[in-house]
Order: sequence, then structure tokens, then C-alpha cells
Amino acid sequence: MNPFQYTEPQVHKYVSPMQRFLSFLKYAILLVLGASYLLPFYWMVSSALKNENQVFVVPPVLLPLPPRWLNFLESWTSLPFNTYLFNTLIKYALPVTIGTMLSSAIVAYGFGRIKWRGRNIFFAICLSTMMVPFQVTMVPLFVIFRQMHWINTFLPLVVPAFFGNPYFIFLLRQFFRSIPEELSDAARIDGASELGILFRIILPLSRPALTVTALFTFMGAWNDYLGPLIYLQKPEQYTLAVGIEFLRTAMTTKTTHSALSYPYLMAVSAVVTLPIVILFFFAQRTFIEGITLTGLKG
Amino acid sequence: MAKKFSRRDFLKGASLAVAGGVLAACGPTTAPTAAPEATATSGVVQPPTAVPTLVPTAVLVGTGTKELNFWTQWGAGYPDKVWGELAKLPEFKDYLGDYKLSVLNKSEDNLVTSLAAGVPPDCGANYNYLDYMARDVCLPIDDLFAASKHFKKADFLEPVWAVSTHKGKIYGMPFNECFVRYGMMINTKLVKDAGLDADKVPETWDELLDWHKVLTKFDSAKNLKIVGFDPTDFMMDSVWSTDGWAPGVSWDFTYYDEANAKFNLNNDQMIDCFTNHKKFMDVIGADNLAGLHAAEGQGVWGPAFDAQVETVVLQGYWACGQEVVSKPEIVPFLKYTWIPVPAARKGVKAQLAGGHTLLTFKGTKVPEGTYAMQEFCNTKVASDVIFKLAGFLPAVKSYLDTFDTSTTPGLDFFFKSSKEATEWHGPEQCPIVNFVGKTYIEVREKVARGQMTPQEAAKDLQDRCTEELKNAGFSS
Amino acid sequence: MAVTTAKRQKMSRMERRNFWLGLAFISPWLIGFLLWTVFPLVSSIYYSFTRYDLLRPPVFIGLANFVEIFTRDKTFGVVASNTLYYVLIGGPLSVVAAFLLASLLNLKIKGRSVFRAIFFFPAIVPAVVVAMIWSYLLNTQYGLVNGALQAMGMQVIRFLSQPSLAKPSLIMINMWASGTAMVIFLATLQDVPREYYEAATVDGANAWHKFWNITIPMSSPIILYNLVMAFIWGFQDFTLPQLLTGGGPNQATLFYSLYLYLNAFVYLRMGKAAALAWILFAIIVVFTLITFRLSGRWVYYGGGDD
Repeated sequence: MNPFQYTEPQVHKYVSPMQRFLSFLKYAILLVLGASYLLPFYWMVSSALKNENQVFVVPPVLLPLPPRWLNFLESWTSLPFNTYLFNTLIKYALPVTIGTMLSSAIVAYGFGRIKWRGRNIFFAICLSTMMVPFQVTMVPLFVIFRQMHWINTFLPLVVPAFFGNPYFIFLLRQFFRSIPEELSDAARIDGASELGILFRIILPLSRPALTVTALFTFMGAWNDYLGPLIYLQKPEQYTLAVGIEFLRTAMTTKTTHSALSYPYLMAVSAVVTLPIVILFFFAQRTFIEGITLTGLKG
Repeated sequence: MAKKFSRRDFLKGASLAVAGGVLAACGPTTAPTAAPEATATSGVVQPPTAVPTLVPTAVLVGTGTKELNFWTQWGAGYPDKVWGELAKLPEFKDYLGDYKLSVLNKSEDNLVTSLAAGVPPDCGANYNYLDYMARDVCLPIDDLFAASKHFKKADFLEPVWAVSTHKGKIYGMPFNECFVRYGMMINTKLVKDAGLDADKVPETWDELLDWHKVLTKFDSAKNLKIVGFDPTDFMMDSVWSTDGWAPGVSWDFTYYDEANAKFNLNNDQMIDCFTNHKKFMDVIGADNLAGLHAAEGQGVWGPAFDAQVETVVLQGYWACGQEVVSKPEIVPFLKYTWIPVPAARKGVKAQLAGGHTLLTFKGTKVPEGTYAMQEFCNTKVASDVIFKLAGFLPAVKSYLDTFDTSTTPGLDFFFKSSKEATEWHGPEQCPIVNFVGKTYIEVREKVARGQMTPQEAAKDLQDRCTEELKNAGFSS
Repeated sequence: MAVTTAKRQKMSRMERRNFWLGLAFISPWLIGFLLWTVFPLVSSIYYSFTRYDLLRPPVFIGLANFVEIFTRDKTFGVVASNTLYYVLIGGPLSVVAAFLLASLLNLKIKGRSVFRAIFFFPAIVPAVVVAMIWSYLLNTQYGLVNGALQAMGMQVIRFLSQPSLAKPSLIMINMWASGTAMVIFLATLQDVPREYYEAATVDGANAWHKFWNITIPMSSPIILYNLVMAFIWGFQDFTLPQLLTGGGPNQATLFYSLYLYLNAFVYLRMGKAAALAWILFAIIVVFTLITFRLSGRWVYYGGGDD
């Protein structure tokens, strides 16, 4: 080392024992909390792999060996879960997502990019509908759908999505408002129609908000239990959420109970949760941002 | 930047794990041999270890073209095993050749919702029939029955007709599962293990309570392990339009006066019944029973008896055949006798004959098909199949008179009881029996926890049922 | 065109064009609003004055449903107190838990995004799956907790079959799934200007002072928001209690939404169910108003509100 070269005096930041302890405490608490948050998921997956004589035992088996991978296949085929998957994905989640995105974007444009008299009143009404508990409209809607002979179809679940969802109308409106007016003005001068502006200028710039809308709508449909419960009576129409509960009741009767009921339930639960896990890991940032967007600007 | 375990790495690892798992699942695995029956630790025997075969969607039988939707609550095994076998009979073609029959298990709540939604099945069995007949959603079968070449009214056990008759019209024939409904089912192995004399069966509730105190066992940490008598399971569970209810039979009173649309639930017998219930629950511990029922995914009407955590229950004749199918290992230990009665009525041999019917719902396109089902199931060959696979008996007198009980242990008691009963009851009919049953269970639980005295409970039950009857539009 | 005055004038052509354009764009929502909200709301008011079992035509009975609910329905009292317990205790608890977690995550931590993911994830799992997992986990005989307890020779904890434990157990599960609120809090906390903390340190404040006097007041609007959201959610939660306890044991978890479902689809008392729904609506509105009114005392709207 060159004794004539000037080097910065090395200053070691003094960390007191107290600070070191607090830092340790911080991580210890986080690890304990993290582990306890993850424990139910571990229980789910480990239980899904249990053999018959590892389920109803005391003390409980934490690591089932050898793992019974067959549970996944058997439980998935014990009921037509492939059909349930198809129903949930193709007949419910995808149409609802597309419908919500489309309609909410259009409506949000009307509320956010066009200045017209009475706009704020209508918007206030739109927001206020978020306060109405679903139970108030649940019964009459059921009667209406019954008169229309829509029970036992997916129509009651999907069609309303094409009429806008206040949560996402709100989210998209806020986002649209943040896009500079000059862009719209310039386009209008060029003779573009409002719809054209929406689809060619605004939407491409709104990818984050649209992704959030798509994600949350999809998840809402994937997880929905009460809606399919009320409107879908035929077993071949069940969605995944209803199918899981159906499996539980089907496996707890006098002649079908078995030690594999819990592993089966845990196995299908794990499989149904898996897409959410995958979505989450790919789009974690978007998820979080989405929540923040709806929450903070609210 | 320090190397972090990035999200990408995690995904790679995760997908590898999943792929590996899928491969492993598809690959050859050692076939699970029947797990050895665990030695009874604290009285709990492992449930059956066979992989359960579930009935996912409706079971479709028959090769006809007309669709016939049949809903029931008789549980797994009934749609696939029973009807699968029935469809193989030549008589099936004679009666139901035109139809494609879809048999599906659906709970009572589901049936109610489907009726409310305007999409009911064509027919249903094993539900509280009067709730539906009284709400005018069923089709009468008087004309079809009058034209029957095979059956007359007198061919069937008389009391069962009450179940399917309403305001003078008949809505169904006795169907599938009829006969006597009340017996005390005892697991004598557990009785002997507890040091009791299995031959001296209790005849009164007090005597049963003595047994109960000895049979109910806890472990050293006061966790409930076995119950002596379960006062909430099987026939003690609720009230039905097909089976009456245990308090009515044991204490000898009718809870509903149909002619005057009045309830008779606030009386000494009901109070005594609640008091009795509390005595049994005090031994068990009100909070413990729910946990016991929830173990192994079992509920009431469930496998708790098969798991040998219940020693004594009240069951109907069907238990004999059912136990052979669901838990043959304990069948040699099972004993059936008369249900207990209050001490003042010691020696009374009470019994009730009831049964099921098949209701045809309005809007059906195949009323002749649903009628044909009923005639078909009452033929001798069909009845044989139904008994063999489900343990059910029809109400056809000629069939019962020539029935050989020796093949099924325990059945001889029930047949004996039909001749030797000193007191006969009939299935009471009430248009809101669903509500009565649910309220009864709720109020009874409050008594068990000491939140209501038996007197308050009886009055409350009476008041609420009277109120509901008015609100539902059946009285003024 | 004349110079615009302060008086409201007839719309200019431009304004009129924009008016119809705007209306056209929001027409999907407007039509849907009329079809799926207004019409059902009005019908629901009508039904609440009838006796209607869906199998026979509705019969007008005036206020009888409301009278029954408030004077003769003993179960309603139980349902109301259960729901209030769930909302008043569960709501604030889950908000506090979320806030504490967010505060913890807000400290200097390596791997913050991993922990944030772990704490957030339960919030997006399907409710059915949550119910399945926890019903096995808390199973009285063979669950993880009770199995371990029995193996140690101790008495089991009857989480879901003892009335006094059922609601707390549900609240605990809800706290586990309160990741959404936590994420919102975390974003808020990271928005608090660092200068405030630095100034406080200069003044000699310790960690607790900073937390109490800076963090909490600066977050108070969002605390209010999350609290209101938690209340509204608590009043409406259906799937979890329905699947975990079905309203039991001994009606301990019979909440408003379950009772409404029971009346509508099991007892076929559609009229009464409609009446119950309106009462719920009224309660939620009153609750929200009270919360906002009381918030004036503790919510601090610092600079930067829109």
C-alpha cells in the first residue's frame, strides 16, 4: 500500500450492543411471524401427501414419509375437477375479466376524459353503490334471474360484468385523469373520435391500471363461492370453489368417509391455490401497486 | 450487488418441484396395501382405509330417450350401486325402458333452493315431503294409481300412506325405504370392555343413563374419547315427516294437531325430554360432542358409530343392512332392542311404522316415468336388489311377510317388533317440519349448555313454531 | 358566442355534444345501475313488506316483517350481537395487526419484499381453501395444535366447537388474512417524509415517541379508511363462517349474512330476508357515519390531501 496515497479514514459505524440486539429481535420476530403465516400452507401441502394412517393420529404427522403423491391425482379425479376448472376459467373468470376491463374502461373514460355537465353527480352515485351490501340486492336479483330463466347458467355471474364495476371504474378514472390533457386535445384537433382516443392513446398508456383490473377481477371470480352457490344447481356446472366444498360434503357421509378425506381436500385445495401463487409471483409488484392505488387514492 | 435468491430462481425451483411431483404421481407407485387396523387407542378405531369412490355427477342409468331427473338424500352408494344394479334387471326395461334416469344426491337445502329457482328435478325422495305437498309444488298420482294393474292401497302398510297423502290426495306410493323406524343399537363389544353386562339392556332412560356414565370415557387430560349414548345422533337428531321423532315415540305424545293447525310442544313430556337430554349431555360435556362429531370429518348421521366412538344410538331397521355394507367388522357385536322410555312407562314396547315416497314436482315432463319408478321399485325383484345393496325394505305387505331375516343380523328384532309392539305410533305430518327440526335442535343445545331451563325451552319451541306456522301462511 | 356570465346558461353546442357523449360513454354503467341496482333495490323494498316463499305469489303484509324482526325474533338478537362482536372487535384488531406488521416491515430490513409477500399472500387465497386448511388445522382431535396437545397429555382447545372460542378463532383467521390492509399501510408508511423523523431525532425523541407522535398521526387517514373497510367487510362476510362453523356452535357464529341466507334460501322467507337486508344497509350507513364523525378527533389530515 502506498503510504503517500490519501485514503479516506475508515470510520466504522459504532453499533451498540443494544442496537445489535434490537436488530436481532427485529429479524427474530419477522422470522417467527413469517413462519406462523406460512404454517397453514405447509400444513395444507404436507397433509395433501399423507397416507391413510398418517391423518387421524396423535401426535400429528408433520412430514409424511413416504409422501403419497397419488393423492393429487386421485382427489382431482374423484370429482370432475377438470370440468370445474373449465367452468371456472372459461365460463366465469375469463368472460368476467374481459367484460369488466372493457366496460369499466369505457365508463371511466366517460367520467375522466370528457367534461360534461352532471358528470360529478353521476360519478358520486356510481361510487355510492359500493356501499350497498350485496345482501340487499341478492334476493331480488335471484327472483329476476329466475324469471329470466337464467338460473343454472353462468349468465347471472357474467352478464353484469359487462356493465362496469364501480371499483375499477374508479381506479381507471383516477389513472386516466393523470394522463395529460394535451394528448387528448391534440388528437381531437386531428379529428380523432373519442372512442379512438380511448383505444389508441389512453388505454396503451394505462397498462398498469388495466393489469390491476384484470388481475383482481380474475381472482375475484376464481375465488367466488357464494355467487356460483346460488345460481348453479347442476353438478356439471360447479366451479372450483363450489367443487371443493362439494368434495368435503361428499366425503363425510356414512358410506364414504375415509382416512383419505383430509388429504384429498388438502390436495385439491393446494392445486386450486397454485394458479394464484403463480400469478402472484409473476405479478407481485402489480398486485401490491394495485392495492395501493385503490387504497391510497380512495 | 450480492447474489440474491431472485424470484426467477424461485420459480425455476418451484416449477421443477411441481414437475417432479407430477412425474412421480404418474409413475408407478407401490400400491397401498390395506393398512393394518390400528390397535384401538382410547377407543378410536381407524376409519376404513379404502379409497372412497365418490359419485360426482348424476348417475345415468337406462337407455331410453326421455330424461328423468331424480334427486335423493340417501347418500353415496345409492345412486351408483343400487340403481346401477336395478338398471340391469329385465323389469327395468319393462317399466322404465323409455327413460334415461339421472340419479343424484342433493341435500334438502339444495332441493328447496332449486324449487325456489324454478328448476327442480322431476322427482325426489328422502326429503320432508309435507313441506312440499303443503306448498303445492307436487303432482298428485291419484289417477295413475287408480289405474294400476299391480298395486292396491291395501297392499301396503297402512301408516306409510300418511306420509304421501295431503288434503285427501295421494302424491306418491310408498317407495324404497319403509317399515319400522325405532330400535336401540348397541355396540356390545364396547359395553363389555367397560365391564357392563351386555345382556341386561336398559329399558328406561334412567337405566341407560347409568350405562352412559360408565361408557363415556375421557383421557387423563379430560379429552372426550368415547360417548356412551349419543343423544343427538341418528334418530335423536331431528324431526321428520317420515319417521316422527324419538321424543314423540318414547314419551308418547303428538307434537302437531293437523286438524286445528296447532302445536303441542309445551307439555310435560317435552320438558321431561329436555331434562333427560341435559342429564346425558352433562356427562359428555356440551362442548365436547361437536368436536367428537367433527373428528374424522364425521357429522351427525355419520360414521361416528362406525368409528366406535358412540356406543349406543337409536336407529331404524335399515341400520342392520347398512352396517353390513359400511362396517362389517362390528356387525357381530351389534345388538338391537326396544328404545328406552321414561321410568313411568317401563315395559312399554313402542314402535313406529313410517316410510318414504317419491314426490313428482310440478313442471315435470315425465310424470308417467316417475310413476313407473314407484311401481318398479315395489316389485319383488327390485326390492331384493334394494335390500341387498342398501338395506332398505319396501312397505309391501306380501314382501315383508315372506322376508327371510336370517341373512342379516339384527333384522329379526325389527320384524319381531312389528308383531310384538305394545304401542304403535304413526309418522306425524306438519307443513313446516324443516323449521321445527332446526328449531328443536337449536333449543335443545341451549338446554344442554344450561342457557335455558327445560320449561323455557319447551315454551320457546312452542312459541316459535306457532309463530313460524303463521308467518309461513299455514295458520291465521 | 356571448361572453359567459356567472349565471347558469343553456349549454352551448359544444357542451351539449359533450353531455351526450359523456352519457353515452357511461351508459354501460348507467344501464347496469338501473337493471342490477335500482330495480332490485326497489323490489327489495317491496318484498320486505310481503310474505313471499317464491313458490306462491307474494302477499302484502305491511310492516309485519320488521315488527317480527325487532320484537319477536329471538334469533335476531343473537345474530345482531354476534355480528357486532365480530365487527367491533375483529375489525379494529385486524387493522391494528396490519398496522403493526406494516410498521415492522417499514424498518430497515433485508428481504422486505419476501416478507411482504408472505404476509400478503393469505389475503388472496380462496375463502374456501382458507376454510379447509383451518378446519383441519384446528380440528379438535387431530388438528396440528390439538394433536400436539394431546400427545403432551394436555387438554385440547376446542377452537371451533366451543362457543366462547368460536368467534375469537374466526377473528384470528381473519387477522391472518388481513394482508391487503397491511400492504396499504406499508405504502403509507413509506410516504411519511423522512424529515419529520430526522427532526424528531434531533429533538431527542426515541423510537416510541416517533411512532406515537409521527407515524400514527400521519397514517391516521389511512387507518380510518382501513377501519371502515374492515367494518363493512365484517358485516358482509359469508363464506368463511358458513364453511368453518355453519353458524354454530350453539349459534355462536351465526352472523348477519348467514342468517339472511338461511331465511332466504332455506326457510324460504324471502320477505323477511329483504327486510333483514335493508336493516343491514341502514346499520352499515349509520356505522360508517359514526366512524367518520368520531374520526375528527384523532385523524390528522396533514398537507397533501386531494
